[in-house]
Amino acid sequence: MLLYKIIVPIISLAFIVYSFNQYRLGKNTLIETILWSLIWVAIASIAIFPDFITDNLARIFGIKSNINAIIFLGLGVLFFIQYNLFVAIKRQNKTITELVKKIALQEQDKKQ
Amino acid sequence: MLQKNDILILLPAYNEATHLRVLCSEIQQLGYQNICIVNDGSTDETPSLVFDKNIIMLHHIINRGVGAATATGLKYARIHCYKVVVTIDADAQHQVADIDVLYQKYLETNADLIIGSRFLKANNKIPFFRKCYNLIANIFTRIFTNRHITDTQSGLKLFAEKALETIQIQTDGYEFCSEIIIKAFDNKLKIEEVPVSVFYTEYSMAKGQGILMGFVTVFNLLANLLVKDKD
Repeated sequence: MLLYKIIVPIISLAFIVYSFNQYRLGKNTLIETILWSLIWVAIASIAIFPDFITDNLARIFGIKSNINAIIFLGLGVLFFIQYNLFVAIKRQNKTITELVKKIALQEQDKKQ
Repeated sequence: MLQKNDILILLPAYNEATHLRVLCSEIQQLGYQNICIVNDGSTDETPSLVFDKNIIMLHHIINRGVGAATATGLKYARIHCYKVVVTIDADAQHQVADIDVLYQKYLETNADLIIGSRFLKANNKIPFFRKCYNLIANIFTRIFTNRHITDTQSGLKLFAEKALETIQIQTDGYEFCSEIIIKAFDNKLKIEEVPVSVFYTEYSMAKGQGILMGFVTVFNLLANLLVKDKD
């Protein structure tokens, strides 16, 4: 048995446990926990059954090579996560700006 | 008729302690007594400057950008029922007397938004990188408005009542200049341009925009237009 077939599922399991622990502590929502767990289950599954999963993915998406299929799928997932991060940061920035503006105007009101 | 004292002069300022006092004094000598400085989280002596009672200083507790500072000042103007606001850069690159040029144009045309254009005055010496920055921003703004504005990034602007009511600035950085024009266009506001003078010193050049900032500005504006926030 190849070493990565043991290491990757162990790492995945550790992250799944970590995600559920974060949920238990109220730092993650249930949806986020499930989403991250599914991603780690997928990574572990690919490590355990690389040919079976990637060949089927390539067939389903109509991509010739199983390596290309996994790269495209990985990029898709990364872009999705990146977009969500972008939107989240943008919203946080906007919230901070609104707060700064409100404080500036309130402080002036207090002076007058 | 609108008097000079009915106008609020708005100065978004970030680390501008060296120029603010002189600038405010020049503005008041010109007859505009009501000035609002928005200190955008300055780390120099700007927050501790003391002015007379007609000069209000609003303080952003942290730096949020010139767009955010302008938005705070415009909100202050709305709350205090000012009918007209003139914004001017606090780095002394504009000639204070040009505020009168905008004021006269407003009296003549009753426009909703008047932009002081640095490119309409032939003898203005504008550095190459500033021209590039403006070109990028002008092209981008034109895509959204289908109207050619010679200086979309000018800090010298007059907002009349309708513009004050309808334009709510959402962006924090330099992209707010294009955002204002796009929103003015969307709201069918009357936009005018007047030629104004500009003086670039080493000080003002160090603070301003280059080609890279032009692309960042366009990206930020595009991101703001494409990713709408849930309000």
